[in-house]
Amino acid sequence: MVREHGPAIWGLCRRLCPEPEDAYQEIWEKALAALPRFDPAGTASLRTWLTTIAHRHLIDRDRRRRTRGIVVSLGERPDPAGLDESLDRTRRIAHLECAIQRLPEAHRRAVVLHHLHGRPLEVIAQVEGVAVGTIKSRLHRARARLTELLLGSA
Amino acid sequence: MSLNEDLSRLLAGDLPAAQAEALRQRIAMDPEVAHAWTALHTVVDDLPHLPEEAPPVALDALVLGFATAPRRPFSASTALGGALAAAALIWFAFRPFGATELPKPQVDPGDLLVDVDGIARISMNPPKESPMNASQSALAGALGGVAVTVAVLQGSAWVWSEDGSRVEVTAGQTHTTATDAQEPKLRFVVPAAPPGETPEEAVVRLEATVAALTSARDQAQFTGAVAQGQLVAHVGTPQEWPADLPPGYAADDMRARVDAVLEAHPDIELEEMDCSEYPCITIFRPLDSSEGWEERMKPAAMAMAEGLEDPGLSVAMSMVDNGGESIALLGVTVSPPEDTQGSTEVGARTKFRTSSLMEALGEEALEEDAPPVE
Repeated sequence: MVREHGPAIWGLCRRLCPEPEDAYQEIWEKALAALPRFDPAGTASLRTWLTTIAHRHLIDRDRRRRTRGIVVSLGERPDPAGLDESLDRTRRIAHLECAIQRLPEAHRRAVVLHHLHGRPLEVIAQVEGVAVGTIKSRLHRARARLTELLLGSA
Repeated sequence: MSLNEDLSRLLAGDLPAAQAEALRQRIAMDPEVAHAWTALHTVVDDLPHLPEEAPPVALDALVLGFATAPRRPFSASTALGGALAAAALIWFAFRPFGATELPKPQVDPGDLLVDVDGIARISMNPPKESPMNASQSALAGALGGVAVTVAVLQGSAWVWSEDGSRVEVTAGQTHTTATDAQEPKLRFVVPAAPPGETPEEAVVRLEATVAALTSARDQAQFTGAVAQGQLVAHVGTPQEWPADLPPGYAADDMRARVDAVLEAHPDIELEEMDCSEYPCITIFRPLDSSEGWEERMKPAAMAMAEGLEDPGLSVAMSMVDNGGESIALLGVTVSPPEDTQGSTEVGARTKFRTSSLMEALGEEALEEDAPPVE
C-alpha cells in the first residue's frame, strides 16, 4: 500500500506542506491506524480514501506553515536536436511548480487536489467545509494567478 | 474580478452567456487578451503533467518500520546514505518469520530512530517480524526488545532513543543499543527432547527442525533479494568506467570540456563535478538566476557535447526558491547515446546521482545564501 500510493501522497505533501517528510509520516501513521475502518466494498477507492486523509491532515497542518526552499528537480534527457523543445517544456513546468508555491494555501490545495489529483470539486468542498462555489472561486483565482505568474516569467 | 479570473470562468463554463460572448469577442479582437487566454490553456494543460516523484526510499522505510516513532526532519540531501540505511530497514521489513516452529518475537513498547547523514549499515539482533504484517501495537514497538547495531561507513548518524536522548556515531564507529534486560533473544529454539524419545524419533524431530530452518533461510534470502532489487531500481548500481569508451568521453576529456566551457562562459560557475563513477556529472550554476537563465545556459550545455559524433546529452534543471532568493543549477551529462536512456542501468544510476547531487547542492546553496540569524 505504501509503495503503490506513496508517490501520490508524497506529491500532495511536497506541494502543500513545507515539511513534507513529517507530513508524509504523519499521514501514513493516521492511515495505518484507520485502516481497519476502511471498507474495501465501499464507494471510495483506497486511493480516494488515502487522499482524503491526507487532505484533512494537510488542512490541520496549514496553520503551522512556514516558508522554506522549494526544490524543483526535473531530469530531462533530450538529445541535442530536441534540446530547445525540451528546455521550453522543462522551464514551463519548473515555473509552474514554483508558481504553485506562491499561491495562498487554500487556493493551492484546490489546484493541486483538483488538477493534479483529479478530486471532484464537491469532494474538496466537503473536506474543506465550504460551499462548492467557494472552491470554484478559489480555483479561478488560483488559475488566474498562475497565468499571471507564468506570463510574467515568459 | 480580474480578466484572468474571467477567462478561467469562461474556460470552465462558469460565466453567464452574455458575459461569455463579450469575452470571446475580446479574445478575438485583443491580442493581449488572446495571449492570456492561450497562457491559461497552457497552465490548465500542464498542471496534470507536473512530475510525480517517489518519496525518498529511506522515508518509506521509516513509514514501514517506524510508523509511530518520534518524527525527525529527514533531509533530502542525505538521500544516498538514507537509501543505503534503508536497504537494511527494507530487509527487516520483508524478512519472513513465517515458519510456525519459529517463536513470535516479543514486542515491547519503545521506538528507536536512526538518522543517517552519510552511509551506514543497520542490523538487528534478533531480526524482527515484518512490521507490514504486524498489528498496530507491534508497529508501536517495532524495535522494542532488540539490539540495533549501527555501523557508520561514511559521514555520521544520530541514534535516537524513545526518551529523546541521542548518540552520535561517526565514520568507522559502531553503536549497539540494548535496553534493560533485553538481551538478544534466540531467534529459534529447538524444542527439548520429550521424555523417553527414541533415537529414531529424535532423528525425525531434528530433521524436521533442520527443514524448517532451511525453509526460513531460503525465504529470507528470496525476500532479501527482492528488497535489494527494489533498492537497486531506485538508486541504480554504481558504474565502473568502461574500458572501451569511444574517444572524447573519458573523465579527463570531460574535465577539459568543463574548463573550456567555463572559459567561454564567464557568467556561469562550476558547482560540482562528479567523475567518481561513469559517466561524469557536471553541475553548473549561473551567476544570474533571473528569468531566462535556462535559455542563457543552453549554449554551455550544448558546448559540453561539441565536437563529439552523435553524443547523448542529458540535462537536468533545478531551481531552489525560498520565496525571495532563487538559485538555479544545471546538471549536464555527456555519454554515448545508449547510456542516456533511463531504462538502462547506466541511465537509471545517472538519474539518481544527478537528482541527489542537485538536491543536495541546491539546499546547501540556499543555506549559504541565507541571511545570518540574528
